Amino acid sequence: MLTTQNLTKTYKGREGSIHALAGLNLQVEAGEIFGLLGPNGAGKTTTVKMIMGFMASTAGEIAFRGEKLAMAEPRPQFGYLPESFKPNPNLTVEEYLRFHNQLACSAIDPEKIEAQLRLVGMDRFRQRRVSDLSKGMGQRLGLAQAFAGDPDFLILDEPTSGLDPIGRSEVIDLLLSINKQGKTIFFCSHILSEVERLCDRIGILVEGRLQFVGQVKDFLAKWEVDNLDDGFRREVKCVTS
Amino acid sequence: MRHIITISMIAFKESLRDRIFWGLLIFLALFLVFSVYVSSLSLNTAARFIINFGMLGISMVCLTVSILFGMYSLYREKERNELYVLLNRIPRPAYILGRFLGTSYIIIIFSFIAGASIFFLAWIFGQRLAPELFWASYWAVLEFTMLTGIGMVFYSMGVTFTLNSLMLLAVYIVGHSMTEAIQSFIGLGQLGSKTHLALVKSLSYVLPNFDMFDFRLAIVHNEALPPGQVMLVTLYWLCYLAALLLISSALMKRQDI
Repeated sequence: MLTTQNLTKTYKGREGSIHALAGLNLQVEAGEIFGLLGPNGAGKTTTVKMIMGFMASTAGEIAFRGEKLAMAEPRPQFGYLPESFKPNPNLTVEEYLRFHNQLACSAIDPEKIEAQLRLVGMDRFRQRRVSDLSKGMGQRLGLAQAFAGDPDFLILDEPTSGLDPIGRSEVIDLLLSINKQGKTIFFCSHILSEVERLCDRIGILVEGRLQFVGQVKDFLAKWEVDNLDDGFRREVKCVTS
Repeated sequence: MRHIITISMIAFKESLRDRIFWGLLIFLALFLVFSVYVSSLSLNTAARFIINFGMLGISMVCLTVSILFGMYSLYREKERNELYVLLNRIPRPAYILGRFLGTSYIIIIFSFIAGASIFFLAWIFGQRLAPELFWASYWAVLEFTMLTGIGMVFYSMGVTFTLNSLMLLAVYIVGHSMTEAIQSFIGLGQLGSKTHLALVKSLSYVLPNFDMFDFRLAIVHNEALPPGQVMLVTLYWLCYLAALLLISSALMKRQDI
């Protein structure tokens, strides 16, 4: 469904070139939940930004359903939630979703907005100003806007960052239920417990290179450990030492 | 077009709900009250005082609108990471044009509210009917939408908000010294080489010339503006603004965000 081929990003710094991403080859299949993991600075957000067309790649290609994606073009085929997202505080919850649905579709369908509100459990708060929402509710609203235009592929960058354990658990349950409806989810995280619970397959990115891609059980078997945390630490240590 | 209108309307709605909007309205009201108070100290020139002070108020408020509503809101949107969500749905030029239009609506509102208020104050306290004040509002709209366009170019170049604001203030000051500068430079050029003269002349076409919109003296002294000049200045604004928005859109398309 989504493929990257030899995706590379090099920044030119004062002390020479910095390779943020070096030849990433990735394939995300329809209907799966794919988690891209890595320590801070591994290149996860750079990967997402390039997939979304916000950043030009130094080399390589990105294709969705076989079609090559161009840089700086909108990607309405993806629902997107960026990291540390804060919705527009001057609008009400309903106005905010109306606005995004208006951008995503030519005509606003009130039923779709209603469904999006219900999906994230915010139908009771429709008239509330976004500035009055808690962080968790703001994140849920962020997820709701990702459904505007009804995309079947969601790209979520750290969807649970900054949430308390209850909020995190609610978002994970929500993602699982969305996936059951047939949506494909590609997400970045460094919270390993949620990745273990959510993902069909994972990719481990360290220092801009993809070190592993496959199922969680295969990764555990590779390092002969019984939890993702230990395996991840070993993987990172092996690359950086 | 649909995207541009949607973005502009949301930017407008957002600005109306912002405390800064109401703060600026209060500031403008106080400024006008002050102008009436100062005019009462003058001898038979109350209307002139009110009009002169009032027009200064329009400039101050519109400059603040350009920086706070035009620029700060853009940077705030980027900080909140909302920009990414929007650019996932709409082309970058549509975003730039929509945001520009949204700020322009606010500039239009402020300049015409201020123009109408000064008109009534000059009428009540200075016994002068000055319909030419609506021209002052018109010139303010042209001047500050152009300044906002320049800010959009700086934004698309990826400069920070602080630097953008400082550069806008500098451009505003330089733009208002342009006529004088051109005249003295051309004088120097004539003394020097022909290349120097050509260089200075071509620079004067590239840099924004806000003196073109400054008809304050004509309005204060109730002098009529030649229609040809009105047309010429409007055409200058149109061409310059179109160029600014095109440059801004092109830069934005090339930039990593």
